[in-house]
Amino acid sequence: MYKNESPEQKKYLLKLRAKKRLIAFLRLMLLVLIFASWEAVTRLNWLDPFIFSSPTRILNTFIRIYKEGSLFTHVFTTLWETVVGFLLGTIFGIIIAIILWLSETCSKVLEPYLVVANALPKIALGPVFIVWMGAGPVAIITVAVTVSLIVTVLEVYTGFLETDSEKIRLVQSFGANRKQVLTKVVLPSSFPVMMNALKVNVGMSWVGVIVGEFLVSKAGLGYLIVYGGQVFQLDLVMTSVLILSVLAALMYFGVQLIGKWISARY
Amino acid sequence: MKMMRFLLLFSLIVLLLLPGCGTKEFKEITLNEVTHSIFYAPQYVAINKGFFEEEGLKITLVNGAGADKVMTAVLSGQADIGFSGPEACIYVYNEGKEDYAVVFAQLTKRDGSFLVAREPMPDFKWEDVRGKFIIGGRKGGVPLMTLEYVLKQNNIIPGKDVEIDTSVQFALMGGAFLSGMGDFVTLFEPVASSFEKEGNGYIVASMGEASGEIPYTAYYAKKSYIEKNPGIIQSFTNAIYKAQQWIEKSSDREVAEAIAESFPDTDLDLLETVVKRYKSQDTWNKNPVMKEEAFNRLQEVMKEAGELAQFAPYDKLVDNSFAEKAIEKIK
Amino acid sequence: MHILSMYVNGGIWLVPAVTVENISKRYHTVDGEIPALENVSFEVSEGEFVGIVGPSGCGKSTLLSIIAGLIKPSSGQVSIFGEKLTGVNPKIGYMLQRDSLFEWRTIYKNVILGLEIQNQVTPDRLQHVEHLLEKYGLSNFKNHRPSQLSGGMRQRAALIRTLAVNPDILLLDEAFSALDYQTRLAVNDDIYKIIKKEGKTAIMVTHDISEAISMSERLYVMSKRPGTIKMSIEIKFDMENRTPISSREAPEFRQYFNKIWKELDVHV
Repeated sequence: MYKNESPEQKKYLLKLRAKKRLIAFLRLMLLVLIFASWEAVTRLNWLDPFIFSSPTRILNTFIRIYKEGSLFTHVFTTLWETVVGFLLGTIFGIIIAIILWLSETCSKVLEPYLVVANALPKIALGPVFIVWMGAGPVAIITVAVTVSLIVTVLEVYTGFLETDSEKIRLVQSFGANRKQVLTKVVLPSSFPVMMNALKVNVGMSWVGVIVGEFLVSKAGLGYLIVYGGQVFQLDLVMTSVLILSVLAALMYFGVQLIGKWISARY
Repeated sequence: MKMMRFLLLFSLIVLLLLPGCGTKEFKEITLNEVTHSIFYAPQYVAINKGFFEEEGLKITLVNGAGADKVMTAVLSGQADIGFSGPEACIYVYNEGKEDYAVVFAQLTKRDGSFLVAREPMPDFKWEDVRGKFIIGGRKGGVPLMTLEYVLKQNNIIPGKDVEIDTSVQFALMGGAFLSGMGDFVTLFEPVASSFEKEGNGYIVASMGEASGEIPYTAYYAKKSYIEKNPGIIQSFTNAIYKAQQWIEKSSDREVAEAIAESFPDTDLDLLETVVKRYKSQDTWNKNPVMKEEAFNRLQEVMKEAGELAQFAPYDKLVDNSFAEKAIEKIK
Repeated sequence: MHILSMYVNGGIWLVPAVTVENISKRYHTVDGEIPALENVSFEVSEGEFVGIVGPSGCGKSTLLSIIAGLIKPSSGQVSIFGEKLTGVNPKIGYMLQRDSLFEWRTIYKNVILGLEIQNQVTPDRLQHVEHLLEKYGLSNFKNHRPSQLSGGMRQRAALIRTLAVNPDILLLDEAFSALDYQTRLAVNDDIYKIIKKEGKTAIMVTHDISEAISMSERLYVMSKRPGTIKMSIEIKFDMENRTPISSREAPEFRQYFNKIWKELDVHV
């Protein structure tokens, strides 16, 4: 706060804050409205609660699996598979993008292959991975990695190419070699692009892991969805989906915070 | 003049009625099957030999790929009749659905899967799986439950005396075995026989023989649908019964030829081998009636596996009236 | 004065800071060859401020890039204090049109960029940088981000960045075109004084004739493409301690301007 603010400035700041609060309130209200109408609609049987579940049923299921002690196992299994898949996909993606940038020949040769690989629905390869690597978390993580890898490579590489050519010329005029161009110009200026890729990867890793669990798993949120479907405990399915959504949102915001922290530091 | 008018009216009426005679009206039914397997031969006989057509039904066959998906299609109205393990009906009833599904015709009375090993074991005994690793199928599914039931019957405790993998999805079990996972795997036909043919595995035991009679696959529809369309249900059941009788009288080769159209990628000899195997094991119902004893054994198996909290009432979930009428009508 | 000097014809001959000999540049594309420069030759003495003007597309920026060692000529060679130029040379500092300061670095980190690249981050050099910052009024803005500075200040920062590696020769490639007119005049003045004070040799390429006249001691006029030197003029004003602003008021200014304007092949 600065001293000697004019009364106009004060009014402006207050208005801004009020608007922010209004938006936060409306967001909360929307959430409450969704849950309330869901509950009402299923109680009145306009929608079949057997198929659509309801907030209270979900809450009960949640408490039940918490008491059974299995909640933690399932959440933890899926969570660590996703985090590992996410990190590997992002790190390898960036490394490959760097290699492509360092060698123009490499990138020209690989370009059509990358475009095709990007268009392929990697999820369809899930069964192939399982036969290849055996059923287990390795195959699940591989599905998650492949889903996010190619997208990361393309996005980050494109970001690299868009680096301001003037800045590159500048460091070249000081005699910078290719590695220096990379570390001093390309990587720092592509930071926003890389952060973006990370945010997208959060979503993709979750999808990859859940799909992997659909095919092969004995624990995890994806497993609960499949099992719940098989024995027609659709409450279990909905509960898992909800937990999934919350975790995915948290992970997204976590990544966003880390990005802000890094850019503030450097 | 009057004569003319009369003649005109008469010919008009005749013309209107004409299209009604001679051409039969077909009712279109969507039938969702849990998977496409020789295990369900009578169904394909009914389709290919025109028994459904005789009963005035045109069948659209859809592969549901899983009992839960078949049931979902039936409950949501996407399919008129579902064909899968009746455990789905039990689950749905127990979970409190009001318009639950009711079974009206049974097709198979034994498990249709086989235990496949990596080496031929002509003197296989169930003791031989002690200390080994079996890919058994997913929790909540009947193939796994039957396997565990059989093991327990032979004093082998799943988890303690033998390791069973429950993580692999049904469609991928063969693939997982191929990749080197496990010592044994349970597979349906024609996958089991084609593995044998390629030398990838050897059939050492029949789950159907080992487990005793369990209603494995049956036809069901929503209670409300049956109430609204008894005629369709009856026609359907008649066609199935005709097929069941036909198979009884026919040779393995004839049956193979009848179902060949439904399995274009499988050669005739393999089809015959499989049909022979299933027939010799008394896999198929001779009529569509589901016996109470068999129904309750299924529930026993499910309870043993920990998937059933309470028994569901036989008289609510199974309606044999259509099957009984079919037997009476078609001699 | 540079150490490299010889006794020639009884007198001391000082090696020119920059020698450009028969430089030609042809660009090769799929559609054919494009000649950019044709036999350009000239010399720049140590401490001289030389300007190059010419119509658009005549290749002046290409010429500067060749002198900077960023582009290889098709034929001819450039020598820096008698040594043949083979690539980027630390004796040469290159100031581009835009300041290209890195938004993600503070002003301080920006000005030591060149030192980082050339592995010259020594206490000596850093002290020199501090000295430059102090001298040119940016000391208080060391930890600011480029976005917080005005255009003129950013240009000053860019100059300090270039001077930090202690080049003997400065190449200014339309270095002030991005500024608005008033700022430009002020910056011209600023930078001229800095360059003269530090005793640097300078070659400036610009399309602004007034700017070129106000700052140069010698002016080369290039022809249109393929560029070659058409005319060379010595710019002298009858005054002591000329500055870009004061020289614009001199009577000779108008004459130089008209002469050069006529010489330029400007097509409208």
